[in-house]
Amino acid sequence: MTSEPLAVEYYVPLIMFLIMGAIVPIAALAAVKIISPLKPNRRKLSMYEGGLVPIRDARIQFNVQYYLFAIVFVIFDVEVLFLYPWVYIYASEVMQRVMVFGMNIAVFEMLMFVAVLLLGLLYAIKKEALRWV
Amino acid sequence: MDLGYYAPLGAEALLTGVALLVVLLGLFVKNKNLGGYLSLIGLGIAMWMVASAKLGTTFFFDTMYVDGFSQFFKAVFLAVSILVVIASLSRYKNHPGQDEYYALLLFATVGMMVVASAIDLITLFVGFELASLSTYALAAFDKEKKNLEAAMKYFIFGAASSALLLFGFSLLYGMTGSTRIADIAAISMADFGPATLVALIFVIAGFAFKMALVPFHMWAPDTYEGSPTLVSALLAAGSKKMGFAAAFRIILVALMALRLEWYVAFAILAAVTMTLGNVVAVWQTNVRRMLAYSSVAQAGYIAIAFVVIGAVSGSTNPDATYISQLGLAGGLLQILGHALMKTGAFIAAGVVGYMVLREGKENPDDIENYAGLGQRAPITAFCMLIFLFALAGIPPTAGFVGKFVLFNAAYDAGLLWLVLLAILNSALSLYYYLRVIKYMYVYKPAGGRISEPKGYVLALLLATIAVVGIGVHPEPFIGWAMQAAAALLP
Amino acid sequence: MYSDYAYLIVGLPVLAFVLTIFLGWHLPKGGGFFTVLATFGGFILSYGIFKEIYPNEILHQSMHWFANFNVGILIDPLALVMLLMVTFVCTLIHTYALGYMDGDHGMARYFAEAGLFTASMLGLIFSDNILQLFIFWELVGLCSYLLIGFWYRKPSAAAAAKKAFLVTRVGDVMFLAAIVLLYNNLASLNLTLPPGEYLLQFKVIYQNVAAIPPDQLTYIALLFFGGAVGKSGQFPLHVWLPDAMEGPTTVSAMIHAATMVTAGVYLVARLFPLFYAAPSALLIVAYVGGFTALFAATMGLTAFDIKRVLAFSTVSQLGYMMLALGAGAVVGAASVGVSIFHLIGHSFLKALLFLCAGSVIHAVNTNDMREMGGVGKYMKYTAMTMAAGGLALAGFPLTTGFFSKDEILVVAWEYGSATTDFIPYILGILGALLTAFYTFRLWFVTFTGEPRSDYHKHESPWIMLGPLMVLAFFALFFGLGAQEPFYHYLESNFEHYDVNFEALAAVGQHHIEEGEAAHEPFIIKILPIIVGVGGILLAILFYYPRFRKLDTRKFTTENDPIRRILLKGYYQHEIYTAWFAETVVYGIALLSNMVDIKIVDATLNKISETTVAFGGSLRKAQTGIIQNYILAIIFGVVVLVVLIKLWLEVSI
Repeated sequence: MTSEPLAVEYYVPLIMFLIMGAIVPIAALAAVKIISPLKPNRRKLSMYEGGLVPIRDARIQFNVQYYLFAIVFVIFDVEVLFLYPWVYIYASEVMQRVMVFGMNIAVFEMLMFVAVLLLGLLYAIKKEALRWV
Repeated sequence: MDLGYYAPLGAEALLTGVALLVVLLGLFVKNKNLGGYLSLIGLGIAMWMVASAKLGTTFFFDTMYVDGFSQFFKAVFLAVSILVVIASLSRYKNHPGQDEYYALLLFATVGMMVVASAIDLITLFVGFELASLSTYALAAFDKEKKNLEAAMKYFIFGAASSALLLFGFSLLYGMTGSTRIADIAAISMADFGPATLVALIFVIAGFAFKMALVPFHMWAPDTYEGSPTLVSALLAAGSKKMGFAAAFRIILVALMALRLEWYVAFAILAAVTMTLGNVVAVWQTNVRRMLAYSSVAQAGYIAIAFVVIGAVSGSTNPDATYISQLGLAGGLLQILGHALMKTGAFIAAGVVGYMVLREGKENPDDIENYAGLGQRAPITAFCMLIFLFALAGIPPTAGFVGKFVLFNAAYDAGLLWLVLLAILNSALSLYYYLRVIKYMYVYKPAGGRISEPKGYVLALLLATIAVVGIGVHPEPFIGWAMQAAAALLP
Repeated sequence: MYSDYAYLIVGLPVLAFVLTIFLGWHLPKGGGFFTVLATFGGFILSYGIFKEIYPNEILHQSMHWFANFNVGILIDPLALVMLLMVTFVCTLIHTYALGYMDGDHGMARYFAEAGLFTASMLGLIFSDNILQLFIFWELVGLCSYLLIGFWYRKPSAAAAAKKAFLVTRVGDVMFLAAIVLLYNNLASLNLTLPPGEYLLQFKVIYQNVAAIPPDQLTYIALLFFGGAVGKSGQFPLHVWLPDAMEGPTTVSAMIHAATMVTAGVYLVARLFPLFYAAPSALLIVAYVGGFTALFAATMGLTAFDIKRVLAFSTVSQLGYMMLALGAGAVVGAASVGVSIFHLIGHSFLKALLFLCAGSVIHAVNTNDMREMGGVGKYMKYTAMTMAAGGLALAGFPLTTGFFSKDEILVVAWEYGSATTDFIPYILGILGALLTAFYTFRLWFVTFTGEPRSDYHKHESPWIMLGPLMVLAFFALFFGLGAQEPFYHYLESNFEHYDVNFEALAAVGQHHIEEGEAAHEPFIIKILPIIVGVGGILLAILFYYPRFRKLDTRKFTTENDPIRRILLKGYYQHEIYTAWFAETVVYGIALLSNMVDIKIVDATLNKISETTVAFGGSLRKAQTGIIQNYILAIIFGVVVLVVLIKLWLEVSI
């Protein structure tokens, strides 16, 4: 016999998931607490850094230029990713049909895209974002 | 296929080009206001293109659509940007980063315009993010401590909301197998159980962040108060309306099948938003914060449009189509009016801020600084007076027309409780608007007369003329809004 | 060609208002020449339109406004003559004000307000629907408030402005009620109007009055008349007019003599078909008008303030205009011509008299006639022009006032002979005698005899005298030339709308005279001349030093009750203010106040306190911490999901 499931029934897997999600980490932590022997000494509690004794504060300041480079890198890196979907649709029949300025629209759009990217690069260079001081 | 086919989207293309050109020229030419004037010309031409565009065509493989509805919003966005740029010509004269400022402003405008035209979830999201990212950067433009805090809060809040929105979209895609609004609308949602509700609420929450509906409004007061004043104007008047543009399209068209669900959601949101916005605004002594809460409250009024449409569509009422169109038209008129008067009010606050900073005092937006403004800066004070009256919905101003049509539609839809609540709220709002007016005209001036910056004054006067013009001669605007509404809800 | 620019008749003064209020401070003479030029431009346009449409056309332009309303321009004969008069007289008065107001630090404000006033008055005249007329009517009232209180630091001026505003407001409320009532009645007729026609347009009103139930018509007409009574200072709402003399004299000339106060008469004339169709409405108009004419004239006998005498005279003359309109119950639409002719003539001569008085006040620095005397020796031109105005007002043969007042008395007599109700006529003829008397009392006391105080003895500058000369010319000779064509032109006014007065008479239960109108006896023809000249002669005997034969003291004593009543203005102040306002109204006010504070306010305060406190606690949710904000989003999503789910479960 099948009947319309109650609204609540939709949530049963979710609730199960939530409960399990809560139980598992707590259980793991508790298991460690219970099972492992606790014998701390000074050496065990010290910070580990490649076998050497750590010196000075662990928090150091990076040169702000590093972020600038990182941002520019990430931007261009991510934008290169756009080439993949482009390749995917480039060969499609629709793209071949539509022509702009005598060229395939996919080619035209990619040209526009690269031109804008180049403008961005020009901007970054001109603003001296890529010069390490 | 020739390029002429794409002419209706010429405004977007033009503005993108102008934005790039402004940045590029800024690299080589050192002219104190070149970028601003270029942007202004570009926006002006774009306005003309929007007004004269051929309606009813789809573009880019059914992802963008130019109709009366999209053009209405584009005109609103362009009007706001024009006003902001005019005022910026005074504010950011000789400012070292002005090219980036204008370019970002134009990109934000383009993003909003793309959203207005988008009929595909991905295109819509791209436009949404373009506008958001540009405004995140703009919000920190003055690089003062307060700016940075405002921009940071805006950014984090915006990122969280975008995540929700995207999650909602992905659920919709998962259920319907398409990102096109028309396809989504064609599929009955009944088979998907509670997931539809979750998707709907995520989408609403994502948009409600932009619309600043309670409780998704938390960023708004901090950001409107902390950002550069002109950017606040853009956020409150432009970017917020983008949220409505997107929500109208997605919720009223794509998710019409979930009418019952969103009807309740917006009834709650509208009622809570306008009440909370007004009640909290009463407490504010910072004028920009007060304007921010008033903006929240206005969003509540506009959200009534959703409730009206939810209440009548599918009902047996013979006038159902007309009432839903009237409701949407009321919302659109309120959007148009609010965009103009809120831009104006923020620009007026900008004049005061400018004046206070010149005197070397702190807290530029404190209401104490408005004392005797009627004598110190008569034009600004007078325009502010008009905007405040318009915000309170006093005839003959644009604010009255929007509220009148909207409440009328709500009444016709049988939402008497909501109309009463909205009218009570309007009455309450008079309290804090009148307080500013009292400061401006009753209290003794704190200093001598000041020279009002030309750009600000021009923008203020334009906005005042528009606000009063719509109020005095509302017929063509009502007709325009009805046409836009009919384009969305045939 | 001029017709295409008709909107500029109002547009130019509005422009002048904007220019003077923003730029006036930096310009010589407060930028007053803007106002003068704008008003003169209005006159040129009006005259051009007159040339184009006289005598057989009307000009009507209309534009959709919103819902069932329109804005429009209607220039028919009635509006046209008013436009010409207002622009002409206002141009002269503004010119005069350039001299009169010179040196006042509020000059720019004066000319801005005067420009706005001119614009409102002109807008009132050429409105093509009653709603638009009402809007301008209110604007006129606002401007008069601003201008009466022009010297707002003077307490009496501020009080007078308030009084004028409040008293006319009583009339305005009735006016608005009349519009609402009229609209309801017209709307219930379910007319199918062709596009471009609107319910409240005069044309539509004229054509449909006959269909409205007569009792409703009477209410509507009387409410409209209530508005006119307020604006035109008819009994019992005339009390604001004498007080309004606190404003600058040019204001008195412009607003309280020549233009604004005539708006009430204009309203009744404009709606004459409606009044005609309403049973007994015109009877009340005639009685109120006649009574006011005599009543105000008696008060003019004893006043000492030169401007107050003229103010009472204005009230009295407005009464004549109403009386003429009221007589329309018998003579029909012709009475509109008679009334408006007196209105136009009166505008010239009253503006003249006020400006002359202003000229005198300008020189001697007092309003009190008891401190003047012998001014004529030093101010020859002013004395001459004022004499011209006085003669015209008194109805001396062949002056403008003679023709117009004579005609009013004739129609009043016709009214009497047709209905055997001679009371309005008797009131009118007595009033005419008194008019002549008090006018020349004013003139002799001011200009003849010996100086009774030490005043500046100098003539006014030419910029002030010029307008006086022009006005004097019109006050004397306008009637002679214009009378006949004027009556014809105005009589044709309602023909443009195909108003069927016979059908209306049936509704209004008027007796229509058959055949030739009854000829008035010879005595009736010359009686106006006799009373006019007689009044002047009496004044000479009492007040002109060289011929003084009679002394007022022989006839009255200080304690004479009649004299005292007149001096006190029939104890109106005591009745209106001391008794009615301070006892009755104040008592009710106290009671209402108690209810208001104890019950209404207390409740509202409680509500607002709660609201504000609620807001205060809500405000705390805005912590400024971004983590809490994000929490709010999650909270919002969860609450929405739960609420919607619950609601759907419940409702389905």
